[in-house]
Amino acid sequence: MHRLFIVVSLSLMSVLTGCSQELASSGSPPTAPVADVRIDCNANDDEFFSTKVWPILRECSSCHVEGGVAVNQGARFIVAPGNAIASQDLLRDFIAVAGDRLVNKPTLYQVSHGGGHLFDTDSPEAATLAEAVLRYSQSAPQCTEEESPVAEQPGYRDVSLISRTRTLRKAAIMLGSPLPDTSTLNEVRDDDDALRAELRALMQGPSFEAWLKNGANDRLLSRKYLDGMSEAQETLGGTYYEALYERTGEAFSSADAAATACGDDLEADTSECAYARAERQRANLIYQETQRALAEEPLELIRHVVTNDRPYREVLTADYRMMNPFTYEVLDGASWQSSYDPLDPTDWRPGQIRRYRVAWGVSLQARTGRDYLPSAGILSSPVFLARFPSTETNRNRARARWTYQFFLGVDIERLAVRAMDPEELQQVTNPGAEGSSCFGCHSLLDPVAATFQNWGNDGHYLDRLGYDALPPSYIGSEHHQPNDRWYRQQLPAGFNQQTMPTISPYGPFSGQGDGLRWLAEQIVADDRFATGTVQFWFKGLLGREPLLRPLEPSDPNYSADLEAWQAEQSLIRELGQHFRDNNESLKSLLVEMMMSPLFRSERFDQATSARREALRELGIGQLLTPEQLDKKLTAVLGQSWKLDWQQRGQLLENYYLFYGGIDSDGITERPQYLNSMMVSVTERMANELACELVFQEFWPGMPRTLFPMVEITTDPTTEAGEAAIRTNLQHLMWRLWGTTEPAEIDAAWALYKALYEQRLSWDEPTPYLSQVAIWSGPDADPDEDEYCPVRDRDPNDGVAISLNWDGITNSDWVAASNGNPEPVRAHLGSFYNPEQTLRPWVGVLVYLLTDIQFLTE
Amino acid sequence: MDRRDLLKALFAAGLAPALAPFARAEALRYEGPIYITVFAEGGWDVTSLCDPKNGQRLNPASGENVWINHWAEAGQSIASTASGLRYAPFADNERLFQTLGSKMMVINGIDTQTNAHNAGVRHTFSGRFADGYPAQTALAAAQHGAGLPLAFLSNGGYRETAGLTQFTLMQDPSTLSDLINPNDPKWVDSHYHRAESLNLIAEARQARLDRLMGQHQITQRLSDAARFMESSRAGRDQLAALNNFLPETLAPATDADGRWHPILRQIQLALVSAAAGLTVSADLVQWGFDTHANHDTSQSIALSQLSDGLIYLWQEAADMDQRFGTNLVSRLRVVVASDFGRTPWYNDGDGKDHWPLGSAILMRDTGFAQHTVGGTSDDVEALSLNADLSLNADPQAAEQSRIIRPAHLQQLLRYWASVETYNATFPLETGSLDLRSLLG
Repeated sequence: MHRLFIVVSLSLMSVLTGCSQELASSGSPPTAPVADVRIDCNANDDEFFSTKVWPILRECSSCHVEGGVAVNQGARFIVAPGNAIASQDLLRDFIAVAGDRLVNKPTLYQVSHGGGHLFDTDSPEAATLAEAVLRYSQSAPQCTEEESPVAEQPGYRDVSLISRTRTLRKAAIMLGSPLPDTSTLNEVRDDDDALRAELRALMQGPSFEAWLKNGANDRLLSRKYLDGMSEAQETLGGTYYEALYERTGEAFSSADAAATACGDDLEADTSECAYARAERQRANLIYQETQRALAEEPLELIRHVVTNDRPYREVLTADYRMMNPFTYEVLDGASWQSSYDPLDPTDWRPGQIRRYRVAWGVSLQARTGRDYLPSAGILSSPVFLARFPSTETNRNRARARWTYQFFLGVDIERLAVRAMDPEELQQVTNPGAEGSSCFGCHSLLDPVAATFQNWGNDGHYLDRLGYDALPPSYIGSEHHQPNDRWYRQQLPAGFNQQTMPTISPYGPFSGQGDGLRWLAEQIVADDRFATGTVQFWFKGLLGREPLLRPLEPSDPNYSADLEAWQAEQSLIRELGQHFRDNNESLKSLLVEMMMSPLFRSERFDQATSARREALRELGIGQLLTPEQLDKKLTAVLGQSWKLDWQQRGQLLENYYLFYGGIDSDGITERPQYLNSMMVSVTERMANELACELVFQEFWPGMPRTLFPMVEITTDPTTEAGEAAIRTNLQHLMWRLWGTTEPAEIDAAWALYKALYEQRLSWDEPTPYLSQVAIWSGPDADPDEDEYCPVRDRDPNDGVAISLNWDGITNSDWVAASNGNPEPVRAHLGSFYNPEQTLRPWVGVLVYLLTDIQFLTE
Repeated sequence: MDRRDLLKALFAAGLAPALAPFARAEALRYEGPIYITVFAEGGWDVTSLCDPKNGQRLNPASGENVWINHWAEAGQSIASTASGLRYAPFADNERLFQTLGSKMMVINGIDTQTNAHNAGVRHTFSGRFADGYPAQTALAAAQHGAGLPLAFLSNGGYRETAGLTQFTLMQDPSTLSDLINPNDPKWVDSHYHRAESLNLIAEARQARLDRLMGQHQITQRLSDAARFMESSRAGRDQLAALNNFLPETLAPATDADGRWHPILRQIQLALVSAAAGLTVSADLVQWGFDTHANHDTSQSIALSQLSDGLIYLWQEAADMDQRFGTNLVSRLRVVVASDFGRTPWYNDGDGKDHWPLGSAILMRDTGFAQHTVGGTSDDVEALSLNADLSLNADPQAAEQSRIIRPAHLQQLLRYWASVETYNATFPLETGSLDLRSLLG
């Protein structure tokens, strides 16, 4: 495979590690150090180390070993004699803390070396060590420009894919994980199996769990009862869930009593009022977390199944319900064997709905003999049933329709998209009866609808006094027979030509549990459960629905659309088979989806416009949801966009709906493309973040995430300065965009330089990162404002950030006026930048953060 | 507001200099008709609204003759406006029709040929059953709104754009102001960047998009994303114009009984954006019409809220015209429609199920020469039109080819919106029936 070389100038990498105390050694060589370093991407790290580095390091082992002269004198560089593997690890550790000293020391470039001069800066040995620095540096760009593989799947062979490293990076961002480090990227560079393993490794922890739940909610929309206009408790109601309000009621009663004891001023500094405030807070917590636990119950079931590597079928066949203490106490109260913190919303465990009555004063047990409600995973979830309610004439058909859609990938309404016979539409009162054209779809739909027979219109179990869930109007009709559970005129319960076994015709299910349990077993045994699962996760992973079968042959793009649809269907079947072959592991399925052209397509080779149009939703360019962009900010910048008092980021609070969020109620679809409002959100995001990030990162002692290769003193007018800035731009682009195209680095460098030169062209540009006219006196010009948030974002990170204006002496200012900014900078840190090197970084960061390749993946 | 006023507003917002380098971001102000679609979500009962029925008919389920509507059973009579527009004495219809009847043309007897929600919505609002045809509001935005940042506002409903434009959801005006001026810090009277610096960044961004879109091999998805970003960004600077029209108080989000009532706020924000010259079309949604049970109660609530919204739309537009001289009232072109209608009988739960025949209401300030077109029989069956578009009242003589279908409605609406240039790309099967002459 053809490989590209990454060319990176290391000439200024010495600025990385701040080796000024050892500068100006008498032994400094007169010649420039290694100017250009290449990573040979044909060799992996192990090969590179054993063939090139190890021979050099062996020479170092006379001094740089445990107990050796160099180590005894304090040197941190250690070699394990005779052990290349251990030595490679030691080398990585050293480079992580000392960077290019590895090459500067033996060449005596700007530092001293107890072992003296070993080789020249332009020697092959120096080049090898310089490559090692670049290769093993956690923040350095690596062989990211490897050739893109071509898709192998039929129907996609004209499509080139993003590289393995970029696939891993994209997956990490989409799933909300940290960016993969260099060694991980190197491991997957040439190896699909390694890539699969690393993709799989991303699927753990809170971020993945949050992604899972978000993806599931995009389908099930159960957060309607958390984010929409209907609250979960109110929707389920206390009529049947007898203890539903018990805990919240007690909490608010207690809070009210405490408030009464406190008196009129709840903020008063008394123990009674402190208690009242605590009680109010506790009541609010119980209320909010109870809504959340009820609304997210089906999402938590999916999380539970997936994160515990259980067969995915359990999302339908689970004979339990997921609860946390907020729902366990009001719905169950008897299942859990071990203790729990009643206020811990993260403690999710299986439970049962035991605290249920079929009528006032009539317990479930008394009427049915059951200790708890039957369960069939999501199908019997109270919020699922409420979210997709029924009526006396709909007779659970809507529930059946969504069951087909979510779990079998079958959209009943699309099975026959055509004009109906007007006579039939007006005359047919039972579309499930044979003889009408309605029967084709309803023969599939109605039997499944009948399996929901025990669950009433609002989702309550046997809501007619525990006998059945039939409406009183039907009970009084001529059709009803004693012990019936379903309408006699309807098709009996069943699925796929199988009739559900019942005790009597239209009577109760004769097996264990409930008709839904029977339905669940039928569904998971059906081939379409696998392809349905693939399609269920399209939206969450790929940001779109599966392609729709084109229906209109006269449409100009029909042939290309049909070809694309057929290829995708074939791929879905292949993915479904993989899912079945791997014990219905959703993680395994997600890995394969990420390996596929659906996720990785990058370029079309010689595609016609019709072909391009047919594949318009394929591959990269997927707009990140606000949830994903919020996570990406943390992953690539090291911080989120969040106000101090916010629990969640701005993208998830103030700007959530503006940026394409959903409320799972009236707003259930996410936009595919940016609109002007969304562009505005990104601009505000970039403006609010960029300067603060620059200020923080260049503050002395702060870790460098975005700017590891430049300093505040890096001079863009020098060759070395330009090289360092370009290197850092490459680093930034990989982090933010996932690409490092030379033309884009040139463009970003041009922007940096233009911003820098613009500042120098101004009459007395401010030496400070922030300048605000209203704080600067009457002569200040508001047009020259450049506001920068100055604060210590994390007071607990061990580095105090504060501007000490009072500490600056006159002599400090004199020194500054004589060209030495350091004395003032000792008090103002990165806020003081008369060199004008930082504001251009702010501009570049805004440019990168508002680019389409930052906002999409 | 002319361009000078706009620039003045932008200077006040600290944004004007940023406009300078954007030849392609020339500040636009849309002054043409404003196309508003109000979607009555779930299937409205037009027999209790604009196609009133006060008789009985056969309930095929029971085989009995039953009252189509309880209000008729209770002896109430069909009412009409001075111009002869008939309406049911139900919900808040009297206020609606007496207030706005003069602006209306009611098209009754639209046969959606389905009773499935998705198919009904798609058919009614695109003109065909198959996927992929854009909504009329999307077409209008694409045709007349190039360069406008909020050309197409959508609060839900059928909003297929066929890639011609993108929709925007307008929410929460308090946060909106932060998005109008993203270069201004929230709590400090200042700017994040000097205008000159922003110009350099803007130029670099545009050059970058040009480079990206010049790469013909990149995925269509990324190419489209870049294209929409470019157009959105170019128009974004015009958002400052909203500053002049943002309301001091928000329309309520609940009705007098405390029920969720979001359409007023949807209308308010759509009018603000239209007043600022940034919007060509908007989709508004009134939820709650799928009344399979307790029909009269639930349908009455939904219809009353819809009436409330329509009256508010015209009243608020008039108020804004008075305050700002915006000329909104004369520019409004409103169509109200639903998935389909509801059965002309009640089911066992006192609800009404799906019925393929529905209606649409068109509204403009000057009204229409003809107030009602089309209709249904007393049994709520489809009737056809004669050649002069008069109603053939004999259901037995109904010619299938002259029954009003959604394609005819869309043909009319496309003509109304001057977007017929798209007919070649998205042809409609209208046969021999053509309603366009109704618009005069």
